[in-house]
Amino acid sequence: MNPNTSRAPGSTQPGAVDHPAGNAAASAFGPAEVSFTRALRAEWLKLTSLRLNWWLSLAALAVMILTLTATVFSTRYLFSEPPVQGLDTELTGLGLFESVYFSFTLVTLLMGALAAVAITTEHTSGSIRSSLAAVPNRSMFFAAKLLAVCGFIAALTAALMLLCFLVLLPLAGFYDVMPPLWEPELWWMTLSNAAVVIITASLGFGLGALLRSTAGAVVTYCLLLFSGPIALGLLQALTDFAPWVEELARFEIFALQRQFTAGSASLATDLPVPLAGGLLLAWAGVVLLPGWLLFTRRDA
Amino acid sequence: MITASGLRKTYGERTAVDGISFALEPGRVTGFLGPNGAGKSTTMRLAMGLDRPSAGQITINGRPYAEHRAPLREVGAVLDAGAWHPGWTGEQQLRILAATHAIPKARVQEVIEMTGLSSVATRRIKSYSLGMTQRLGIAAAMLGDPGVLIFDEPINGLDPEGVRWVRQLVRRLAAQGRTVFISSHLMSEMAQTADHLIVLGQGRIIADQPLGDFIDPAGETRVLVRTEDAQALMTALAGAQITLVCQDAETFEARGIDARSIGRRALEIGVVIHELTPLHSSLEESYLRLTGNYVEHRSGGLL
Repeated sequence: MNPNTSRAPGSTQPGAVDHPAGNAAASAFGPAEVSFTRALRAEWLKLTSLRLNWWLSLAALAVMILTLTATVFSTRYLFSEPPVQGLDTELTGLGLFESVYFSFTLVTLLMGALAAVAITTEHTSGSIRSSLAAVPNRSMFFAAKLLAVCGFIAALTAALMLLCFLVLLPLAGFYDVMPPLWEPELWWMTLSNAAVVIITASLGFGLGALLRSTAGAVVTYCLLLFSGPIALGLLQALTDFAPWVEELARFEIFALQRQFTAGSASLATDLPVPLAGGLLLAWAGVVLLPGWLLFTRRDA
Repeated sequence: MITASGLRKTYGERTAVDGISFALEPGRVTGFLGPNGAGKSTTMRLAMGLDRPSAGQITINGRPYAEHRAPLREVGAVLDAGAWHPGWTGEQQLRILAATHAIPKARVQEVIEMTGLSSVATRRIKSYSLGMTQRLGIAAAMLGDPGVLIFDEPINGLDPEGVRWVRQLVRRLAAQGRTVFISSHLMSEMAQTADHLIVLGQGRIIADQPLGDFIDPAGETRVLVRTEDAQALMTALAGAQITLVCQDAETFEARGIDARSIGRRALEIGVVIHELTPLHSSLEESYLRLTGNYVEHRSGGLL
């Protein structure tokens, strides 16, 4: 290290003494170089030290708390004695989880925004210059940031899922509709929903890399998610449910999410689950790949 | 060592850097001068790998910046005061940079202390003054204790004490054998700091020489003369190669003749001289004379 460089006015440390030139002094740090692991650690530090990410995480937590509260009350209503007239719904433990997991759509929106901001904020704040000075290998930087963002979202989603379990399992037990924990359905539903949140949010990251604008990336992300179903709905109405529109609808993001998390083809027209998952990944790739290419080629 | 070879950068139709070549030696401060838009910052960004050259290349210690395995230990750069996320604290920003190279936390504290940021290190950068962000930039540049330093206008926003500190720091870094590349529009500071100058004009190098050589050849002999008989002495000195500029009743400036000749002529005609001062061209005068034809954004007249 360099204890001998001049001290600024106001510094309490002793003044300057000459020492050998930079690289010799730098060797005092040891041979450490930039590596993917170190770049990843730096990206993780960035994510966890930014207040906006915690606000978005709190918003996701609030969504889950509201959903769980609503579920507790609606379950109490469904199981009320005497039974509510006209209600012949058969509530299962899996159904409880399924209805709560549906609200992960909103979490996906928030996490997509978080992922987009993670990269656009580098450009809008100008910190991309210091970031690339530290990690000039842009592919490494992009991959480390993407992995850190996915890791952050995965950790948050896992925490939200745990909260769901902590509320829904006692609730299901109380009403004697406990889902079979040793069977794969519940676990597939949980893991696939978590995967859907991460994969879909990575679209936001790719859009952020492509557009470099927070507003542009978040708006495009929402349009990408919601314009598909709206446009397909209009097309179905206009074409009187033409077969090609029905076919097209299977490849829209929300439809793929449903087909993937269902665990088995619930409708005759559904795609096989691995294909639905693969297509979701392809959607992410369609945005991430050009985002990466542009990020590595454009001036910072 | 920083070496540029046929370096060229175009943005659409506009050429920011036009095929420049230079080599910056270790152990000296190289000043980088030029009018606004001359291509100084672009050259520095190209050196840091932030922009991609349209042609040619620029290397640091023999390699393009992106190919260094521990870049922060090779090169420290202050490219502009806005390269920080306003939501982080100064200390967080430095720790993030340090994490990429496994630089210990003790070193982060050391550069914070060195740059006098201790009292504001835990404050968010958005509350920093321009001077504080410049100090943060210098702290980040020094984090890896690199052998090459690139400073783009590092004294912008600094108070006089900070300016003097940067001047001393830069001189000391060069004395330690490091390569220091610094741009500034403050000629007085550059005159006190730089050993060597590279001057850009409209993307091209118009001077690449030691500071002393840059100032002297461009200047001409000028002498300030003060005497009670200014008119008589001016008449006696008048000649084809001599320009005399009257400043007031007792003072004039003579160009094209040295002080010794003026003194001798005054003695011959019996004129008493109160002041005879040789005037040297300043860096600013030499610079303005050299770059006059390369200024893209010229100021209007005074109100």
